[in-house]
Amino acid sequence: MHSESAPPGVTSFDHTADVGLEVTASSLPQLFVRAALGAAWLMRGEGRDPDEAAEPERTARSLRLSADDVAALLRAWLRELLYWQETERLSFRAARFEVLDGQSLEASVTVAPEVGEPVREIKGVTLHGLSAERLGGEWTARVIFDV
Amino acid sequence: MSKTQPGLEIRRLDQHRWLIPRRGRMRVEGLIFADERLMRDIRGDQAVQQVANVAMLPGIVGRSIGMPDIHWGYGFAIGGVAAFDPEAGGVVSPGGVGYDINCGVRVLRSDLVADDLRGRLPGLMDELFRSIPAGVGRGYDKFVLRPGDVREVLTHGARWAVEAGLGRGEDLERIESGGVLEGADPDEVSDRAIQRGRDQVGTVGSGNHFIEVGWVDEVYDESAAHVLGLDPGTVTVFIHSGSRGLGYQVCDDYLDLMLSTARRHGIDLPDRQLACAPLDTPEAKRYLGAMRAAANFAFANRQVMAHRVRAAFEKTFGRSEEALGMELVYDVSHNNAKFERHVVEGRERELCVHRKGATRAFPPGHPDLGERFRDLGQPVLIPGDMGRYSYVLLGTHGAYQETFGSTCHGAGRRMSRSQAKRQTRGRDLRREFQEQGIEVRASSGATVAEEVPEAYKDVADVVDVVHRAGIGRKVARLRPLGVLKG
Repeated sequence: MHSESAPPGVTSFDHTADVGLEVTASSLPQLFVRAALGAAWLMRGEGRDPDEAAEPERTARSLRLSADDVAALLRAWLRELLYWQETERLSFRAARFEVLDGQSLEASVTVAPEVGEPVREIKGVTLHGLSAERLGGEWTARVIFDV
Repeated sequence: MSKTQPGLEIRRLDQHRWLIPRRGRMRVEGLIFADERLMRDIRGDQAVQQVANVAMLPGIVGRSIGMPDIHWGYGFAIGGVAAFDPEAGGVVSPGGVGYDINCGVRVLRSDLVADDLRGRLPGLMDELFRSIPAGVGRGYDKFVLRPGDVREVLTHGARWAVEAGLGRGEDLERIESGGVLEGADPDEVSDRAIQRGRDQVGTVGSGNHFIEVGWVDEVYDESAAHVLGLDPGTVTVFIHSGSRGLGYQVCDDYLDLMLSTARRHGIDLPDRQLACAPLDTPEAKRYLGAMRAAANFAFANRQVMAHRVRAAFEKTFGRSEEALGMELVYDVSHNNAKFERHVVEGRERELCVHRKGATRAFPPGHPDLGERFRDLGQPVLIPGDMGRYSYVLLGTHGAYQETFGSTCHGAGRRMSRSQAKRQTRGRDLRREFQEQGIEVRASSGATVAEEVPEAYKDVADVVDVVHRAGIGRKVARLRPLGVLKG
């Protein structure tokens, strides 16, 4: 299936050399899930949904992270998922958080072998313009990836 | 529309120089090289502000410099040069080097002329595409190094490859710094980084990296071009890549450490990606050891690719690479931080020069240049875009005096990737290139769309500015015939 649309709550914004994502969500777990789906969407070139019917079996793995603040924790989360993606070709599908506060995360993360070739390389999750904050009842994050 | 902070003044000094006077927390002035047209593009994103931000870092000396191909990066602009004095509290910043540590360019030449490729170019491009992995995270299936071998690569750089039979001894004399940075410390490179690099020595990668078969279509300095083996018509090969996943991981690994170090030393960062450490701290030494190791990985990466390029030519033309005259012209880095001696305010000092999307351009007579280039100056290799041209320049005394011996590094993006994709939607780009006589091989059509020529500034404009401003000297222009993309 092909789609031009981004995952829910995710929009990309222009950056001359790199690519940025803005993510909105009603809760912190949703923010982290949507950011992860957004990063996977960027790697697929923003135009292709994963073909779930052709997807090999999903697996779950545990992940525990800590950081100084929510933005740093979000960056650590995305770095970890991108590392799995590059070294094991495992793409993020879902997560169940046991702990997720401003400074720590414990989760069971569901991944699946990537179907097809990723088309965009993400070199890093930069600190430039990185933010994650709650405004009113909504969480918003901005992340710029070096591509 | 200007994206710089309100009140940030830009004052035109002459045809090719724009000054950003000191303001607020800036410790030095900013200086951008551009003509009026390029400056319009430069003002359109956040690059000017980023030049000013770098000018706020501790121990910066001279000026915070922007090249004509400068554009919005993360932390440092891409196309930025900054030098820091260790004796004045100067810092090293991974953001001033970038994720792709020692990303750079090498050019090979041959005794072939463009006509010799007639009828053989498609086969040559197929062979290059078959033998050199290109694309996201792509590595070799069989050429996978053991962790111990990766450590050898990290220590010895291109020399490792030559000693493994993947190149000629004389190649090393034609690589910046001899193809190996001293002071590399593999112990400071994480297991994750080593894991990412194991199958990636000799691979192109993705994004703007490429291998391009081309020919010399115009020469500006016949004598210099002849010495470099770039007589008119000569078939050349440009290789643009860096330290791949290993380098990205090194940068990533050190950012958090640099953030906490900056905080501990009371450094107020205008942008967190400018995270840095004073050069005399253990944290700075650890990063520099790891960064040099990743730089050596990049040197080895380009060396192995050059070996595979030579092999592809041998197979296509049925002659040995020696018989084909496949010599290395030069290999430069454009993402690095190096200790060099420069004169600032009348005194020679050892400085840590950051070049993020900028090329070293040392002048004739500089002691760091090997015998072969002592009278010429350092060759500077400037890739353009996929459809137009690339340049070979030489370093100048002007660059040494004004830009810490640095010049531009490429065309510089003027359009974001998504904008490029939007503008090319519905076009058959491969056919368009073919109609221009350019064979394209790419693992992804999306990469080709993101890298179309119109997404970049015209590299001729960029090169003309550095030539006229005296911070580079044009030698030859190369046109593409075949492009391999990730």
